[in-house]
Amino acid sequence: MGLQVATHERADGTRCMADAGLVRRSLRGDTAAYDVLVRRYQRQVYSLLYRMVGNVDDAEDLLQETFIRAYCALRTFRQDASFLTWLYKIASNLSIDLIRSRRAKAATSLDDEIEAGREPATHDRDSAPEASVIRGSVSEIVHDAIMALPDRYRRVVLLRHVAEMSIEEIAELLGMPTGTVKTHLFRARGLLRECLRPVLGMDGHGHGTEQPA
Amino acid sequence: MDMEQNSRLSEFPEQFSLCLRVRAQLQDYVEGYLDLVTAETVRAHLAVCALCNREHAEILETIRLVRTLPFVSPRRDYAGPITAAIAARPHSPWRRWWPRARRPSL
Repeated sequence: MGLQVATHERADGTRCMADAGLVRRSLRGDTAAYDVLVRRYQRQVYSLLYRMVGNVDDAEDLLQETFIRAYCALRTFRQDASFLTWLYKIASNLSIDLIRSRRAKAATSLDDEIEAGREPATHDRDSAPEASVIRGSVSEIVHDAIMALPDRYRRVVLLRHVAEMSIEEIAELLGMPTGTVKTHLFRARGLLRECLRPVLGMDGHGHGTEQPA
Repeated sequence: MDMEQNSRLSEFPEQFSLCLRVRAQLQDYVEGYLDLVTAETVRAHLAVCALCNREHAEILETIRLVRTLPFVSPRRDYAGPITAAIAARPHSPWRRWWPRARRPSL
């Protein structure tokens, strides 16, 4: 077929096809090209989803849905943003929808439980098997600190610092004023900083042990 | 701000007031939301105040830790199932490609 596509060099010296070329080939019906895109980005997208929704099963369902929706909208992908950023936006939308529907269901079942005179069940995140997925001390502490944040703070901090969306983009996605997004983000970072204080600077990138003047 | 920092700063009320103002602006400063003059005031203060500088460094470090969290892998490779699901959709342009590409060899 002789299709010319741009490639770029990896750190290990091998060459890989650029996303734009793979997108073009996918649109022409090349399933192998879309396979490459899925393999290239499934870990990144899954990591965001897993940390947004808090469990493996939902994150894997949404991972598949994200790539299927991305394919269906592939013609609308404009290359002013990276393909990963675009995937992150689709994944974020899906996880927000899931969180909202969960909340609606939880409110209904809580009403049912109260109506039936039973003690409502609580979800213990720490006892979930996926809580041990992350290994390595600092990473584990950071992961746990993020997962311990209230939902409204966690999603904003992940959208800002993992999906790298702007505060304005997050406000649009969540249907909130930018001021509220900023408040949630700043409070989330404050809570994280308190939790992470013992490990700040432990992995050699931090600010060290500066003494007050 | 912890108690030790509070007690040190309360010995110097003017410094304390400036520190409080700067600290209230640090998150906006990190996000680039301050106007040039205010940002310059914050930058100048951070250059001379170790306590505020430490708070600023902790915010940056917290962000870095979130940004550099290792990726988590799904339990399986989803490339095949995703491509198959797309090809199986009623109006998929891959319907004419996929069976040929994915037909199991007998």
